[in-house]
Amino acid sequence: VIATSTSDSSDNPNQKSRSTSLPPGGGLFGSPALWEGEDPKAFDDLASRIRDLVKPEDIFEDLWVQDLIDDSWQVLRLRRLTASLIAATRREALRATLLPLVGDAQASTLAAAWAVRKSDVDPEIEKVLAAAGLTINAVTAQALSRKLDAVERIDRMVRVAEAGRNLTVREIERHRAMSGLRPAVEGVEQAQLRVIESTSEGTSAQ
Amino acid sequence: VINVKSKSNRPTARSRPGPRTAAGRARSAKNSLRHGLSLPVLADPVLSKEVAALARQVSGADAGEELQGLAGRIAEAQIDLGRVRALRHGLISRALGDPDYDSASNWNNKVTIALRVIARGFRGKATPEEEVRLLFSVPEGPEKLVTILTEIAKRLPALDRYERRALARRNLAIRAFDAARLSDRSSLPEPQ
Repeated sequence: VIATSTSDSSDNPNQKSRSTSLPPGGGLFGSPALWEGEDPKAFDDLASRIRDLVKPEDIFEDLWVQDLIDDSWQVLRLRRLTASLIAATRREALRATLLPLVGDAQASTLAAAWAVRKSDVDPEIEKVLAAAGLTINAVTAQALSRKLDAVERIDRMVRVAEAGRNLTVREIERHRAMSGLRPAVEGVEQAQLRVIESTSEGTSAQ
Repeated sequence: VINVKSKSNRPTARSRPGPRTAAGRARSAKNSLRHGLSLPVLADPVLSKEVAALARQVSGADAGEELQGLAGRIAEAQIDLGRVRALRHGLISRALGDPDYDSASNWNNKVTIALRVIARGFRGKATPEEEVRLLFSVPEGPEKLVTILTEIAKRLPALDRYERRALARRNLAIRAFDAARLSDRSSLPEPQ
């Protein structure tokens, strides 16, 4: 089931050569961990960066690395989901913010033009908002307040995935210390966070 | 009187958690059947082959009885973990691929609106545009994904529970395996 190749001849039967790895993006059942619309290249990038960072030494570490990849991807996708949710709500939030300032018709027209990135309406919107002592941040706040329940739910899921990731890192370190494979990877959590942040920037720029 | 009776029932209640009536037990059994996790992996011929293969990979060919047993526990938990994750992935993927997907609570709202529209029709009154829009709307984009995740978490909390248990079982078994291997090594005579 697991695509491993134990080609070394060490006395530790489940220790294996560096070529051993689980299939990228595939779990034990070979089913991809991706959902519809997700970028397989970004996933593979993250997977190979985490594998390079941890350098799994045996089959147990392969299993844990797969968990690390899944949890890290889950954190990324949920953060992206929060951002998309706020972005998708901003048009309605802008209309609601402008409504008491310019009336229904103009608020709808400006919000519709702004949503399709018509830059010529930006100065007009900023002027209307400034006259009421507001900035475009008020629109983001309005969007966030409209989706607060959903954002909080997503945030809880992020925390669960992060806790899973931290637990896995601790298990790898414990296993390495006990098996005497090699010293635990120093600062793996910080390095992992850097991987995640840089991947997050890369994918949000796409 | 009520307090005395309640106290006298406590030990029995503690020793028999879960549904007590036949109907309750039958309903409870269906909870796990609904998502196919009620059977242990070793009861499934396909999965038990996978467990055996993975256990062999974990223990290696020359492992003793204890290590083989622990490898079996690791493999069983890992396959169980994969089964839960594959199930959740399937549920999410199917819902994402369904263009008409909506949450149960939205469906209830729509039924209420539809009944209101019919009642207004009988009275010869027009339906507000907003209600017609709600009636034919389905969540899209990020809203759809949030709806799906919320629905799955709300309706199948057992999935998370199964996953946490399988993960804990696997990690505990790996710890035991590491300890047994260490003890095997330390009991070997030092090379001359």
